Amino acid sequence: MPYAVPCGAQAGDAPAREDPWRVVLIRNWDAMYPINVTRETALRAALMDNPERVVEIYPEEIDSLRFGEAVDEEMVSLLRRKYKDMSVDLVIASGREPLLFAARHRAELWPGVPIVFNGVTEGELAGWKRPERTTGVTMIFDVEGTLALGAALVPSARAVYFVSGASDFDRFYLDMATRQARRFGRLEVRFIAGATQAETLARVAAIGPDAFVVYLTMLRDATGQIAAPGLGTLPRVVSASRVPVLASIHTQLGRGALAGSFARVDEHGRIAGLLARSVLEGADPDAIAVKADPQPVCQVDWNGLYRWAIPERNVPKACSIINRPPSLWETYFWPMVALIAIIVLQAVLISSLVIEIRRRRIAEDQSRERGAELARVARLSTVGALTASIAHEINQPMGAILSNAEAAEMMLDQGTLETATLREILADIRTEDLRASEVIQRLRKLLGERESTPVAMDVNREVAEALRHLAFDAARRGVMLTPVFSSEVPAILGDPVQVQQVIINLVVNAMDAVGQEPERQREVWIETRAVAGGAQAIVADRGPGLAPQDEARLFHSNFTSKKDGMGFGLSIVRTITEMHGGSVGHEPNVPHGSIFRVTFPAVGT
Amino acid sequence: MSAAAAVVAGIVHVVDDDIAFQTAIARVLVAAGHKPRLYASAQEYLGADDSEGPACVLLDLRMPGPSGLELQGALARRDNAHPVIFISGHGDIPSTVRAMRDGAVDFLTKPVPTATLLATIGRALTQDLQRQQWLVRVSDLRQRYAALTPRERQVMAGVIGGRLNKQICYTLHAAERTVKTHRARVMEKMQVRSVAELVRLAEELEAAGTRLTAMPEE
Repeated sequence: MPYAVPCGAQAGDAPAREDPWRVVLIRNWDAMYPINVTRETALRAALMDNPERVVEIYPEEIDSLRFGEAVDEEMVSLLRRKYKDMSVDLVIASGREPLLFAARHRAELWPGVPIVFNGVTEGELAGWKRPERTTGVTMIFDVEGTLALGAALVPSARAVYFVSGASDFDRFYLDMATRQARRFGRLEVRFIAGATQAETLARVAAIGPDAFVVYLTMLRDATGQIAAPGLGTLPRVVSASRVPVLASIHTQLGRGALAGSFARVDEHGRIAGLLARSVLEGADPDAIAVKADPQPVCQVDWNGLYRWAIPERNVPKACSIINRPPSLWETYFWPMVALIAIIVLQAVLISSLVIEIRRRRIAEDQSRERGAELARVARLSTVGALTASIAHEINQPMGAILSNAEAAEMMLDQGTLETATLREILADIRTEDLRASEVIQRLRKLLGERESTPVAMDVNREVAEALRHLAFDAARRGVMLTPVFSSEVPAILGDPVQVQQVIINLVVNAMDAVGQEPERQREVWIETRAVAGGAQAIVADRGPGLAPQDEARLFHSNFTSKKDGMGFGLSIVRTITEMHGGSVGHEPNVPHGSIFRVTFPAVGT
Repeated sequence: MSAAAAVVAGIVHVVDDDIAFQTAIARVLVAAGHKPRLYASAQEYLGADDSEGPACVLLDLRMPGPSGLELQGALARRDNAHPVIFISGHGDIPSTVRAMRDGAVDFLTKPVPTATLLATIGRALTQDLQRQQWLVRVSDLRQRYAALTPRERQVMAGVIGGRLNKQICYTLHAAERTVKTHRARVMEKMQVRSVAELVRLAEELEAAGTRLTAMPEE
């Protein structure tokens, strides 16, 4: 024993080995052709997938391409020598020639041993009688399906070029393809067959548009050169061709061909493997019908679509697309997720900012509109309060002007108009006209539409200005306005005209309140004073005062105790005051009457 | 405007605190042949002598001190009040209604066209003239009536009541002859020639607010 074995384990004591399943596998041509490699790999995998016994495979090769049956005799004698004392359980024949060889020599080599074949093209066995204990699967070559697929992918195609070689198999296959093309019928069939490789390539390169190529097989060219595995002519035909090149054999796809309809070679091998397995396990091969398996499938190579600029929408729905570059999603799932998350977050952030900005702008617009609306209502309210006063102030000079002019006219008619009198009259007219326009200008400042810009202002000055508007009205009502201004009043920030409007509304209210009082009591006090953090204006009267139940509703719009009042005044007063950050309050005067206090914050508080 | 001299020229009392307006109105009034008197306030006017006529008052509704309406009220309490025309820069409906109800001739709004103003003043002066003439007649009638003795007034009451002399002497317990004499004195003192005329005078007196003596109860 050349090496030590664990105690108790003697080499001679090894348990009797169960006989393996011995399988002779006869290959055809060069075993390294892709179709052979793919098929046999799948076959072995299926055959040896967890079998009941060890499966021992004895590979044999028949190079029918080069030698045909010429060396059969020597081959048989060699095999007889090899398998003389050996019990073989199964012969697998991969291809037409191996099947024929096995059937021919089974009696002398492996008598009674079942044969399972595969890799035989459907139609290749035409006229052949199945021997006993023999079964297998054949391969469908679906050239017709490939033509239909080509017509779909290249809708403008009117012709198809079959590219084929010079071997027997090439010719057999071309013959079958031609029959199928005739059955398909929609395309003119042209042939580039049996030529040398160089000539084949040259002719392929010369193919005009509105056609496509179906590459069949080219095991051997006109010079007799046999194509080596993996260095086939297909890639060269593809690179030479300006029109799409389709394949009719599964393993040709992925080597440059655009598409094809064919039985999958690996699947075919797997089916054959399973079949062999069941025969090994005791199935009766004669009971298993020979059939073509699997059914062809349609496959399209994405690279081909790209190479010949064929839109993906031309691909029939039933076809699968191989070699499609993985999408960004497939390649970079997590980075993409992260990227998208970032983009989404960013979008959310940006849109929320945009929405925020828009909201703010809308709010600003609304606030500006509200401001404008307030200014309008405040104007209306002030106009209402000043109606009588305005009419008087304007109509007084207008009346004087009219009368003066008409007096002059009358005197002129009577011939009594003297130059000196005329001069006096004209001077009076001018004076009155100026008086009227002054009033109008003053009113326009108070009531005109304008942009409201907050400025620092002196409350005393604005109250005095408000009282100027009211002086005439007050005099005519017989109301005495008594201002008491404090020099300590701080400046406030706001719209001077609106502050004037507040004072006017309050004073007009007060004048209305004392309107029915005896003349001595028709007095309104207007006082300014400094209070903590601001300026205060006080308007007080000794009118009848408010009923207690009215006090609560005092500053609501539409509240009015006057017959012809709209009830805007105090509501406006409060709104304007609050917009200036101030407040307005009311308290009863003693012994009767009202006191209104309007407080505005000082500038900078 | 063809400023025809006023049909009735008279005194126009202008009560307005606006000097410019006063002046302008005064020019118009002078040109129209009236005599303007200017007052800056109601008090000023109330203190002035305005016994002359025919006259009217051109009154601003709103003035410092007593308002136009208050002045109108004060004037209405006078016996010899001139008609009032209101003129205002701004007339609200309640003031207008009140002014008209209290007997204003009209309510004008400034600026008032001169034609309108003068027409209104013309109406006011005519009204004042009629009122003055009526006042003269009423005072004349009152004097006549005052000249009657109490007995004569009783007889007059009987006559205008449509009674016969017999009925009167029965009620007054007097002789029919005496009643006839009283009746003749009544007709003479009241300066009437018929019973119908006497009845009309009696109505005029009653309309002017004079209480006539009634017949004693039977």
